[in-house]
Amino acid sequence: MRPCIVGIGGAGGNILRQFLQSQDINLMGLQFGRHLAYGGVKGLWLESATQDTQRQNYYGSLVQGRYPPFLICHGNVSEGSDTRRYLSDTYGFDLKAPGFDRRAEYLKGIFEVFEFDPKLKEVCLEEFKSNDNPLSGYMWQVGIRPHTIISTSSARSKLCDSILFIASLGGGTGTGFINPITSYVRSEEPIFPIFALGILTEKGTDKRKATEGQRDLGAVIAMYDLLTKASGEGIDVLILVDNQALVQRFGGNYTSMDVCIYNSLKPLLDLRNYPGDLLQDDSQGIRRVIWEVNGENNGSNGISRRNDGAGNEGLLPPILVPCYCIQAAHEGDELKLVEGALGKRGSLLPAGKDGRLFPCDPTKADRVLVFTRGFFRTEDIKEAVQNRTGLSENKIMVYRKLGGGKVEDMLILLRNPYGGSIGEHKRPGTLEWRLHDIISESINYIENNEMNILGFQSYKEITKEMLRKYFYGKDGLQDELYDCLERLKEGEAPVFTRPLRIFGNGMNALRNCHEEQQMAASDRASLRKMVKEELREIFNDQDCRRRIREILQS
Amino acid sequence: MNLLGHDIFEAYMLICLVAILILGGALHVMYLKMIESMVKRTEESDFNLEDLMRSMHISQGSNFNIMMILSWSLLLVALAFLYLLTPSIFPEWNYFKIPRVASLDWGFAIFGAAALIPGALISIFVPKVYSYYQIHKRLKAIAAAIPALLLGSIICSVHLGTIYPASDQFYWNLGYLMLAAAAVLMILPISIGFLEAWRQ
Repeated sequence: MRPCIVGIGGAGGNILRQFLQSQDINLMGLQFGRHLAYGGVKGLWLESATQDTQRQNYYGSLVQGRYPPFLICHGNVSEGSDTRRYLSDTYGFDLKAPGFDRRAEYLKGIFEVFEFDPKLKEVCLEEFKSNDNPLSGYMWQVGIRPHTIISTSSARSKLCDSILFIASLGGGTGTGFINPITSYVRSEEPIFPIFALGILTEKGTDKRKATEGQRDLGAVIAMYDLLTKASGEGIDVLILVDNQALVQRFGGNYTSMDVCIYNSLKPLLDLRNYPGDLLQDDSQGIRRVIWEVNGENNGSNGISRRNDGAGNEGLLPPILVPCYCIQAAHEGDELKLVEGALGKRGSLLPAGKDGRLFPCDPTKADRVLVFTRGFFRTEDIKEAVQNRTGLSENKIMVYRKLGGGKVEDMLILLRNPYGGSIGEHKRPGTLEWRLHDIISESINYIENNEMNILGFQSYKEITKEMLRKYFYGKDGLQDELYDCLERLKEGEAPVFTRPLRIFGNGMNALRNCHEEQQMAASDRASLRKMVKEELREIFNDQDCRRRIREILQS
Repeated sequence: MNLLGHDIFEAYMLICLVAILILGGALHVMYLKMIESMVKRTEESDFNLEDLMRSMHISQGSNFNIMMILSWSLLLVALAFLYLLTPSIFPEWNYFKIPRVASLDWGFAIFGAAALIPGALISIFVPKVYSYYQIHKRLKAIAAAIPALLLGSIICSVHLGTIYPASDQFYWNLGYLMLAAAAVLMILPISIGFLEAWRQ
C-alpha cells in the first residue's frame, strides 16, 4: 500500500517527520526530482496552532508550494469572516482558536453545528462557495486529495491509494480533528481506504500541565466517536499505540518513540513484495481483509456490530494492535520473530518490553495480519503465529516482502484482541485493563470538573446547555461510559456502541433547547412577580413596619 | 613499452582498475543468483527472473541516480585522461597523436567530450543495477563524493597534459588514487549488498 500520511497536531507532525525522511542524498539544497520517502508515501501535516509551525523548519507552507508541507486548518478563514462571526455569536465557538483549546468536545461541537444548522450552512456557502464546511473542505481539497489517486492529477502511478491519519489521542488538535476530518473525507469518498493511527496519551500530567483525567477524557471522546461510526460513515480501522508502553521502553525519549512507531510500520509500507504477489497488499485489499467477518453468525465472530434498534445492523471499525520485532538477517527464525513481537506465552507484562505497542492478550485476537521482510515460507510463519495465538490458519493473513538487507523483521497486526472473558479488566497488560483505566479516569474527571468543562470557555447558553446534556444528561456521555465499564467487566465487545452527539438530533435539539430557555425565562418572570407581591404584602403589614422602625432607631 | 618499471607499473594499475569494475559486475550477478535461490527456497509457486527483478526494484531517489549517471559518465573520461592524454604510457595511442585537436585551445575539452560519448552510453544502463539494492542513506551520502573524486583525477591529468613533455609522478599517482577510490565507491553498494545476502 502507498498511503498519503496525514499527521494531525503536534504528535502527528513529529511522527510524520519520520515517515517522510528523504531516502535520497542531500545535495546541499538541490533537488533534481520529487522528494522520496520510504515506500513512496506522501505526507501532509495539519495543524491549528500557527505558533507550532513557526517553531520548526522541516515543514514548509503548502500554500507556498513547499514540500513536506504543513497546512493550517483554518487558513482560509479570514479574521472578519461572516461564518466565524456567526459561529461565535450564536454558539461561542471560535473557528480560528489556536489548538482549539485542546478539547475534543470543542471541535466536535463545531463540526456538528456545520452539519445541522441551515443558517450557518447558508452563510458558509455564501462565503466559501463550494464548501459547506470551511475547515474540512479546505483540508481535504487543498491538502489531502491532490496526493491521492482520486485527484485529477495525471501522474497516477506515484499517487497514494489510501489515507493514514496519525494523531495523538488525548492531546489537542489531533484528538479534536481526527473525527471531523475522517468523517468528512468518508462523506466525500464512500469506499476510499481510510486508516487511523491513534497514539494514546501517557499517564501523568503533560508538559502543558493538562492533567491525566482531562487528557484521558479527550482520548475517550475521540476513540468513542471513531469506533462508533459504522462502515461507510468513518474510518476503516483504528491502529492503537500506547504512549505509556513506549515511555516505559524508551525512558520518555520522544524521538526514539517516534522512530519506534515508524520502524514498526515499515513492513506494511515496503513495496518489495514477493514475485507473483505484487498486488497482495494494495490498500483496497487490506481494507477488505480488515472488515471481513469470520463467517460464523454468532456474536463472537470478530468484527463488532451495531444494531440501531430499528433492525438495521452495521459493522463497526475494528481495532488493530501493532506488534513488531526485528533481528539480524542471517537468523531466519520466524518463531523468534513471532515471540519477540507478541511476547512469550502467558506473559503480558512488563508492557513495552516485547513488541506489543498496546497492552493486549494476543490470544484474544480474532484475526491476524502478518507483514514480514526477509526470506520466510508462508507455512512456517502461519505455524509460528498459530502456536502463539491459537488462531486457525484461515484467520492468519501473511504478506511477505523481500529481504536482502542486514535485518529481517515482522509486523503483526492483531484484530480486536479483547472480549470474551469476564474480569479481564483486572488483569494487568490486557486491552480491557488499559481501556478500563482511561474510562475510569474520564468518568472521574467529568464528575469533578463540571465548571472546567462547561464554564471555562466563552460558550453561549445554548452551547452550555447542549454540552451539559451531552456530558451529564440522561444517556449522555457519563452514563454511557459507566455502561462501557460494565461491558469491559463482562467481557463484551464492542465496548463503544452508541454514537453520541452534542447537539443531539440536530435542529430539533436546538429548537428544544431554545424552547426550554424561553420557558425558563417565562418562569423567571413569574417568580419575580410573585416575590414582588409577597414583599409588598409584608411591607403593608403594620406590625412589620413597627419592627423595621425599631431596628432603624436602634 | 619501457620494461624498467615506469610503464609496467601504470599498466598493472590499469589492470587493477578494470579488475575492480569486473569484480563489481561479478558480485552483482552472484547477488541476483543468491536472492533468486533464497526466494525459490521459500516460495511454492514458480516465477521467472524478470518478475523477481521487478519485485526487487527500489527507488533510490533522483539525486542519487543523477550522481551515479554522472559518475559512470565521468569514469571513462577520467580513465581516458589519465592513460591516453600524454604519450608517457601508450606512445602509439594518445591525444597528441591527433595534432589537429591537440593544437586547438579547447583541445582537452574536445578530447573529454569524445570520451564522454561511450561513458554516457554506459551510464544509460549500468546505474540501473543500484535499484536492486537496499542502500543505506549514509552510503548514498558517500556516493555524492564520487563525481568530485573523478573531477579531481581529471584535473590532475589535465595538469600533466599541460606540462608535457615534463612529467610529475606525484600528480599521476594522485589522479590514479582518486580514480581508484571513485571506482571502489561505485561498486561499494553492490559489494555490501552481496555480503549481506551471502551472510543469509
